[in-house]
Amino acid sequence: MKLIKAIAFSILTGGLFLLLQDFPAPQIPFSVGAFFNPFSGFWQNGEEPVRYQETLAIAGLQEPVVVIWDDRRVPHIFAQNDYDLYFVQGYLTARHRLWQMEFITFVASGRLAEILGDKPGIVAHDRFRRRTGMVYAAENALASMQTYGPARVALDAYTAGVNRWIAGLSEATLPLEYKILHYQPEIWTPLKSALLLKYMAWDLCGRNDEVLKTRLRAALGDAEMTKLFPSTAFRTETIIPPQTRWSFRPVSAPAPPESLFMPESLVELPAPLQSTGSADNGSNNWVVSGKKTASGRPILCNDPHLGLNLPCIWYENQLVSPNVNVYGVSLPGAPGVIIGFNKHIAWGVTNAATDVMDWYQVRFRDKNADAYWYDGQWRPVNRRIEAIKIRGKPTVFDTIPMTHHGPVAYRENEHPLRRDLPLGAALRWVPHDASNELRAFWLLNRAKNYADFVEALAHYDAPAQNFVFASVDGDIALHHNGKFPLRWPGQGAYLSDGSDPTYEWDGFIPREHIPKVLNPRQGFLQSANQNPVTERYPYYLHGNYATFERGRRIHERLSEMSNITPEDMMQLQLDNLNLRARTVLPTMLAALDTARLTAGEMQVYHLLEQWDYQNRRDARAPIVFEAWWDEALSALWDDDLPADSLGVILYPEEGVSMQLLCEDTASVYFDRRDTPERESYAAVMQQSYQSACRELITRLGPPGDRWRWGAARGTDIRHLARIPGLGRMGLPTDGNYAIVNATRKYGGPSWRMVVALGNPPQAWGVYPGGQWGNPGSAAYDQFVDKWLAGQYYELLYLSSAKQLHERLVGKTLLQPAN
Amino acid sequence: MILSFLILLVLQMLTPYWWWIFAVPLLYGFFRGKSGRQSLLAGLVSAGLLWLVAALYHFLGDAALVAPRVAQMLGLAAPEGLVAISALIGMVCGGCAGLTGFLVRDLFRKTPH
Repeated sequence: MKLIKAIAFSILTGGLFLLLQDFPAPQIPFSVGAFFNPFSGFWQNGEEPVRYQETLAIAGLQEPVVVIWDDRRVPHIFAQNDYDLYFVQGYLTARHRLWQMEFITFVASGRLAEILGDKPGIVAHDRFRRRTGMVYAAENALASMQTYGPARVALDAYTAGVNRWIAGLSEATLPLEYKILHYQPEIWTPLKSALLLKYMAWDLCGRNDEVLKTRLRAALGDAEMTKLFPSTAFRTETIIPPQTRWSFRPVSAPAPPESLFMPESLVELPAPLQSTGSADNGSNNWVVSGKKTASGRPILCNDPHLGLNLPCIWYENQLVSPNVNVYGVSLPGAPGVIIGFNKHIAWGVTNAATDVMDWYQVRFRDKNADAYWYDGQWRPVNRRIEAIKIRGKPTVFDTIPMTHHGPVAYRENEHPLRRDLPLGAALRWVPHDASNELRAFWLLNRAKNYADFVEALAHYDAPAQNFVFASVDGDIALHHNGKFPLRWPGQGAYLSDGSDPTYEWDGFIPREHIPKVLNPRQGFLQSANQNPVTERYPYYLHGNYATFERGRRIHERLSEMSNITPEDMMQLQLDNLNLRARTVLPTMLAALDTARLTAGEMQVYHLLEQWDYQNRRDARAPIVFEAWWDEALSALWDDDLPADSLGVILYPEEGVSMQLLCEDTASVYFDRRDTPERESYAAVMQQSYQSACRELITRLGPPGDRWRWGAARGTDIRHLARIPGLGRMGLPTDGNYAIVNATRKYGGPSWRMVVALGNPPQAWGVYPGGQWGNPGSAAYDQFVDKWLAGQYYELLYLSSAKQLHERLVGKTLLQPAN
Repeated sequence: MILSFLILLVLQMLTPYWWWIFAVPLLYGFFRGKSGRQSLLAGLVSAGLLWLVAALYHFLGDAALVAPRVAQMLGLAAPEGLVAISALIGMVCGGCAGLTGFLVRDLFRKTPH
């Protein structure tokens, strides 16, 4: 009896231990015991002191470094040499953002299954990252970074700083997410910094519509495609003012093939695991020259629109050494400042959106895929073997066929991760090539004038950006900068023939010939991801350029403004005018036969009729316009365009739809091909309006508070790993994606910055997050409410560590330890 | 019981291992346990009390922001539930381990207790 009791309780106790040690949670590996342990679990991740007054002995530093903390927990790092500067930047970034910066590199390199295990879609995600050559791209970038001394020093120092912080961590001081997901940080390496930059490259220039367009072209033919995807976009105000003259002699463009390649058979797409990646990253930047400002000095503005997460993608800091004093936002994981200003200049970026990614249909010799056909002969395929480790399961090995174009991401019989990834095609992608963006940022952080700016950008290849520039000397400039393939007109719009050398890139547009402009007569410059140039530009560029609204609105406002102050610029960043609605809605409304509307539909009609086209959070018209727009597009196109095997239809460029809705209302596209009658524009508008009303009433009830834009759409800032409870959900935002204040459901302006050049420079900024990545700290989401309210912080640009200011609240002295 | 509590406190402060709430009551029950009930109680109270007080200390102090977020993550209605869970884990683990320690030791005793 005693024996049975003893055995029974031993089993019970042992079982209890095992259960709490490794809890079989449905989503994540989880140790309940470790997590709830008050001595090292989540209870230890509380608020840290705000007002640092500390002296730390740090092995690896060369000289003492002083860090001044302001009241927003922004570190102002004063070092006596560059090595120490980037060492401390790495150390502090890891101190406050370690989990985030490491997690992103796991995403980039396709290693999520190591953390999350064999959960649905995770291994497929990892495979996708490997197949698209992310690690290969990072390896090439790293090799290049190591060729330039100062960039290598920065990278090595940053790495050493991050690792110094990691070495001092204990179980109790691990960031919360490590405890939730029950794993440990690993050693930081320079390759991880390169991976982070390639992750950004994929996010910004890792998509195009070649597959979907090829399918559409096969069904509709070339003439129709030209109508649906015209080369000049509707009402676009180009980035480079149209009257700009190109004074260089262009290198000759390669010759096009006699007839454009069409794959023999388009493999029907099996169901992808995700829809296409979000293509609505976008950004605004602009600059006004001194002749338009109240101060007589330029003002520069930037708000990059990205997916919004907590912790935020940006970390704010000031970096000072004897050869640099720069302030701005950094990407946790990479040394230097990405967007910011120094005493002499300021700069900002928007995504260039010019296509730098072509897919080449590859013909393999046989199923073994050890040779592919190119230029009349079989060429050997190289193989890259990738080991995908899976937590709690055996490692999966993946073989990637490599051609001279690049990796073949998916074979004919495989399931791609996303709809826009073709099968049996090799990827040629500019960010796969060796490049040294770190060198560009190193130089940019130290630039004193326009010549320095140009020199810095010569080293910046990808992801291509519109770099806006202003100097205290009064220069303003905008460069559509990056490494752009030299193509024949039309090249790369569709799937390319991987066996024909005609489809190769014939080199790149010389950097001196990229679209750029300095000190234009109009006194201002703007970019909003739109087409950079008119057809007068002598090279062929194409891309997923943004529709006209944001760029045109900014252009319209800047043209009419004078005596501009920084406050005016903040107001413009927060501008909520829905230019799309102002353009198309009057015509759409006029087409409605109000006599045939129900009382409810009339009520909605009055909302639209009285709307001032402002997408304010309390307005109820914006959600109606959105719903009607969607219904109208569906009514306009669904009968004209073929759906793929999954019922998905690629719509033409939105500019084409806008033009039809407000100018070409007699177009044949309005006729429904599936009915014998000839439908008119008015009939299509009436029907789509009524179905939009029905849809809204079903979803939100009769027009009331739930129709308010801030509630009906709103913005969610989710946790980076989508852990519930760690985000800020349901924020009632103004704006929308094609509006200057470009908020979205899961994205928006990730850093609003206004810099008034001068001595000293004055700047304001805000991002929807907080400096510290710890969800247990008030600094985790400290700036979110201010961002939501459209307010800014004044940024403190210090000239010395001894400078006094009421907002400086702490000091960390880092001493070299021997 | 006080001895068990103090040893546990020291080990928990010095090392990151959560399973001391098993190990210490188990050893206590084995070497110092006087009866099954007493061993169970010693483990339950020492580990339960320690985790209750320590969790409460953070809950009322620096964990004011992290607790609601973690509670939301776990789908708890109130963050106070996290204190209760911590205490409960301590109690159940400590109690079971204490009793088990005593029962195993009891197998080797010559005279029945």
